[in-house]
Amino acid sequence: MPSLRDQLQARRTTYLERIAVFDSLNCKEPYDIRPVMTRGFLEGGDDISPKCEADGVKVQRRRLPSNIAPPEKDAAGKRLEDGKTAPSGPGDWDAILWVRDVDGGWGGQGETNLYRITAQLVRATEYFQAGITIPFAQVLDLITSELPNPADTDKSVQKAWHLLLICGANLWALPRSYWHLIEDIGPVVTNANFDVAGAIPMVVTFWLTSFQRAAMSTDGQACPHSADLPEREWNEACPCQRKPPEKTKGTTVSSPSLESAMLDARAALAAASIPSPQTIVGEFRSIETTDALLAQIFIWLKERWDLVPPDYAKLITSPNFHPRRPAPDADPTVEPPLTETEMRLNAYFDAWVKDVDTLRRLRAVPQFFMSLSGKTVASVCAELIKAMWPDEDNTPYGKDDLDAFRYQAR
Amino acid sequence: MIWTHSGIKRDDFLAAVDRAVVGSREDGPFRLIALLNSPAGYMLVLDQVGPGGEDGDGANGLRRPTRTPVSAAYWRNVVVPSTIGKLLAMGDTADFHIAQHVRFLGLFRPGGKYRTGKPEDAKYEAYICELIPDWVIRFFTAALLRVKYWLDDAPLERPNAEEMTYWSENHQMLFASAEYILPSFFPGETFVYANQSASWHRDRAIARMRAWLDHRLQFGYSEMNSGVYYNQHLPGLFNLVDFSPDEEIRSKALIALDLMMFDIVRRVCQGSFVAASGRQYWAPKRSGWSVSLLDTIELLTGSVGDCWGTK
Repeated sequence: MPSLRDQLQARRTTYLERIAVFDSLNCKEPYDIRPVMTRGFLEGGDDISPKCEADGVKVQRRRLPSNIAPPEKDAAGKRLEDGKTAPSGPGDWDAILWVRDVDGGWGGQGETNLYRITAQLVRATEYFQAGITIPFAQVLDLITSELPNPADTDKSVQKAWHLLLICGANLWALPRSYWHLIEDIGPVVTNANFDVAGAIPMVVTFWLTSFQRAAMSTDGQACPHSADLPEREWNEACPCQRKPPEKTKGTTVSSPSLESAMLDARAALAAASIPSPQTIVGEFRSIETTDALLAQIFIWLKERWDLVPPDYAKLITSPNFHPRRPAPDADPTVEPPLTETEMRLNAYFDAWVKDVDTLRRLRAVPQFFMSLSGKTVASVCAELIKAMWPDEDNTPYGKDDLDAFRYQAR
Repeated sequence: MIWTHSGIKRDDFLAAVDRAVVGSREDGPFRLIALLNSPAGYMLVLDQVGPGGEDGDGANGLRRPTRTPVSAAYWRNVVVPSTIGKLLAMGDTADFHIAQHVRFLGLFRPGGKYRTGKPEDAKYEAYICELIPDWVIRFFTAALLRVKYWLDDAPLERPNAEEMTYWSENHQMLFASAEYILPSFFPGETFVYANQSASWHRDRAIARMRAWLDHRLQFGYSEMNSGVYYNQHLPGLFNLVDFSPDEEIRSKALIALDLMMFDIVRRVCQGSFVAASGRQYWAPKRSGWSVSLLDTIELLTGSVGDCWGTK
């Protein structure tokens, strides 16, 4: 019979295995985070009623993300075979994987701390002593094989973004560096209900993370994507086998070509004192905005300009036009009150000025990133961090944080 | 004056950003994250030290991180939140983090338990030193040599006169065990907060350590059965058992540890350690799943099980 000490040591070994259960996978190191994604592999869990369960209704595996490698998919399936019938919780190995820092966020928001690293190193040591070498990346949950050079100037904004996240910037906090620009834009919605301003954050995020995605995909071996799982079965007669939600098709927006949208917006651009649409195109293309979205920007501008009646439009754009605005207490004999026509003209003028200002604020987003491009990665890092605190009212720290600093002060 | 009663000032923050990357420092981005995430420790220490504080030995060994993924992993997971954010800032509960650093160095510093330096361990040394960059060891060491280990050292001189908590049972032992063990790791170093030698600190701490252990063996734990604080006692006790230079302290710590383990095992019911306790918070009173030493219970008893009672 094993001694108590033997039993304890066996449990300890099992425990350490659970901490890094996927070391035996053949996937390259950066993909080691992907078992995390299997933790949601069950659908329903305990919402199978006892009656249905007695009738033999089985919980089905949730469809996995398409980029999960076959070993993870197999593991997820095996988990079901082993009698796993509930969503993952604190006692599951996949829940332990969940707390890795790379999954909780890039800013050390998970629970990878020095104890965990120590445990991993102890485990790596014991394996080494047993003749098995665990790769570095798996011991320390590394997510990339190389860091950008701070002196680089090529793609420096995207590299700086990647570097700051790798060094521990909070994934959710770092966008503060440009978020105030996004918030300043205000609503920019076309008549076809296309939300231009709403699309900009996605464009920026996709562009900023492009280097990071490329780095991770080149670091990791391209795991072949196995075929997706078949569609989940459903049975209307059984409350536990609900019909899967239908895939939304999304709103179809008629999308004219960029060229035709630019042509149509010529008058509006001239009225906004923008000599060439290529200026705007160049700005937005610098953050890899698609032609379709660019076209929507010109469509929106044209639609706003079309709201101004042609007679007024001519007046507004004439170089000598200045709206007359008598002071409320002006002497009517000296400064007669506004006529109805003048009031209308002023209203159209003000609305157009506001629209031009909205366009300026929209352009401020790519212009901010253009102002950073060409600088070194290190300089861009510094500018991004500074931009997180653009003015006294926009601090990256909450009041509680500030109070906490006070207590830290010497 | 960097700090105000309303917190850090924007102008000081922006100036610190410029200083972090001045001279095209290759570790500039690392420093920016330290400033952003742990501003107190960064501004009070890293922002102030010049090359003399980075390139020296002992407390002056706050080395620059190398530009590697391994360094970044340590930086984001440990150095910024714990070493800078707690040890260098001397924030409250820094002793919890000190215990982690003591264990790490006890096992993995050159000359530690695993890194013997013996010729027969050369292959292992070549492997492990890639996983533990030299700057990490030196940075941790420097931070530990800068900590204020006991209340009667000079005040921290914060505007509100606040100090770290030293006085409850777990804090007494965590500070004392670190101050007692570290001199054996770094016998020739000066602990700069009190500006005293390693042996001076050892002599001061061993009296407190001995008294603490004797009291536990005589009276038991004042934070008895605490689902919150046993998890803080354990690292300090394990460190004493593994790294105590004196057999007397090691033996007493082992007995204290045995008693604690016995308490835990005796009072665990189906994986839940929820018992009459000397110090407890809402979460671990409410649920066995929220007891902070859940992992230890699973290790000891294997009774925590899979989630929701499915095992």
